[in-house]
Amino acid sequence: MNQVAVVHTGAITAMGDDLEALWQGLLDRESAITTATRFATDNYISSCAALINDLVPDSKKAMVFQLADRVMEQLPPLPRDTLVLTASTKGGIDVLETARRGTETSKEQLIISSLPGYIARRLGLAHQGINISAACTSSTIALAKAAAFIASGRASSVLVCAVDIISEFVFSGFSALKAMSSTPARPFDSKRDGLTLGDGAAALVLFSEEKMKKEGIEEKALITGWGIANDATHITAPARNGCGLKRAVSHALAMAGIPPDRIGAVSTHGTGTVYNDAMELTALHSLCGSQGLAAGSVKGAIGHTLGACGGIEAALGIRMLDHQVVPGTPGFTSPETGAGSMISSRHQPFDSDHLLTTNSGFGGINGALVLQKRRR
Amino acid sequence: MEATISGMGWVSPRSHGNGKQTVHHESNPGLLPKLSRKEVLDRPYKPFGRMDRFSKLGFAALTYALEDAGSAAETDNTAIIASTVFGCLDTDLAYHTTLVPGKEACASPALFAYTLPNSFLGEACIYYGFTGETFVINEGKTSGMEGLFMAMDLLESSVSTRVVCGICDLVPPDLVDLAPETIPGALFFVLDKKGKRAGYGTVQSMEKGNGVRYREGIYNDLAALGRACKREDE
Repeated sequence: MNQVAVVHTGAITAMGDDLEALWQGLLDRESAITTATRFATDNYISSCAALINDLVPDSKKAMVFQLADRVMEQLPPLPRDTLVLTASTKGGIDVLETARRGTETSKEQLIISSLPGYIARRLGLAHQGINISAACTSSTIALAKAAAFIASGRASSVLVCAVDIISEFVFSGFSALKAMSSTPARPFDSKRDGLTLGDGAAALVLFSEEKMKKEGIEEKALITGWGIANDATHITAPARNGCGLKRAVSHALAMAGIPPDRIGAVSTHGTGTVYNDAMELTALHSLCGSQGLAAGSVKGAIGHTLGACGGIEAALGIRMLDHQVVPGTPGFTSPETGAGSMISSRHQPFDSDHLLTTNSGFGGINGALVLQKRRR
Repeated sequence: MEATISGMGWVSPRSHGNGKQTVHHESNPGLLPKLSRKEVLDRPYKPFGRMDRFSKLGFAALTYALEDAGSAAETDNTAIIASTVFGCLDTDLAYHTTLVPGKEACASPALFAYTLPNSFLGEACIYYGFTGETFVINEGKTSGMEGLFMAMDLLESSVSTRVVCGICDLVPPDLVDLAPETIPGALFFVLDKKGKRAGYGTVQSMEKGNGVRYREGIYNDLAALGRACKREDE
């Protein structure tokens, strides 16, 4: 099995135009969650969101394409044989809203499969690519599949572009499901009452070892294990015993060839909903116990970026490994039972070469990646 | 990579059923059938009635494929991979019509849950108790080959012992300006590790993703592969 290296990372969130801005914002305990002004929120259960301010609906280009343009600008030229995997839940769904306002718009961008092709053409890549759609695990699964392509030798270079935007379509749906908090999300807090949505995009380029040597590029981290599992319980609620997440993590750890106690830190999904966070705590305690594990969630700062969150959190996970610190979890003031031993509002140092990042989504799907610190 | 095709099922404008029957998934225009729960499932499953059209289509075809394979719940780490061009765009449009800007009361939470194309994979997992990987691939045209390669990789690496993979698309909505070529309907295969059972025989991936070999032919899309499939015991 070929080793899988992450060689380039990029991100755009409401916290700023690159990964460094996001990392610094988290270390400085900033939050990008404010009152949403992209659309009227008067009749929804929340007005909070972490939106990228200068991202506006455009009749010629759906917002998700605009965001993809911006995150691609953070990448150097890529080998022409690079495969493209995008990860997005709703793609250019804002086109529907633009059309409803009576503005002529390109409805082709409603078709989500047009996104990877657009990126491939823009970067001058040979393959048209595909989009992976698996709710909020979309980009975790895209990274797992990209890693599998490289591990098996099917590809030597893969770009994963994870991108989702917050439209009124999505906002209204989460409001109707009563899944949003009226205040900024408080992951793992005992008083948490829902999530906050956010715009976001990430780009991660994965190379084989041979490709790294050929291109003269050094790794930022390795992806050493991945696991994906369905909990077969409910399409919009997680299994309370965390069976799907446990299975995904167990598989990822087995693939990485490390026992749970070698994991020093966890970038959790941590949405701030009552059931997701309880499920994650159950699964993590069952798998790892609580000794020496630093865990955190960034969704109280940048919101839940839906299909993009796994990509953003993997890119952040690499920063965490580099700096050996998990940024404090925003909104965490009164620990949920079992959370106090892992989660903190303070930055948590750790001493390990291995970090676990997990995500779960509608449709009962769970994904886990094991990241390994760059080799010297 | 190699795998055994243990079952196949489809829903098309002309017919629906599984591989034991003679008419296979065909590229024909026309309306897709409205299938009731009793026509698809042999035991009650309440959510079937409230599923969107895309989910019902995919759920029906993969159920027919599992019936054809003989024992649906044989293994709980079964994975499901569905390839689609339009996904649940039809459902998106239906949900969007329930949305009156700024009026939450009109937004349907039940419909919103199906504005993700992977929802029916979750429903199938609940119904059959499958706990393997489930995800949707959106591709430029419904060849379904990338999903087939990923399915074969899951079997080859022993991540799953069975994978259900296929294609699923409704008739494209009128509002899309430049609709890519799609076949309305759904076609799913049940794949097992090579040699596990007879079924339809073995499918083998070609070098550099250049299709799959089945019997004497090379195939580059699932619909053509489905039409070529012949049971070993026929």
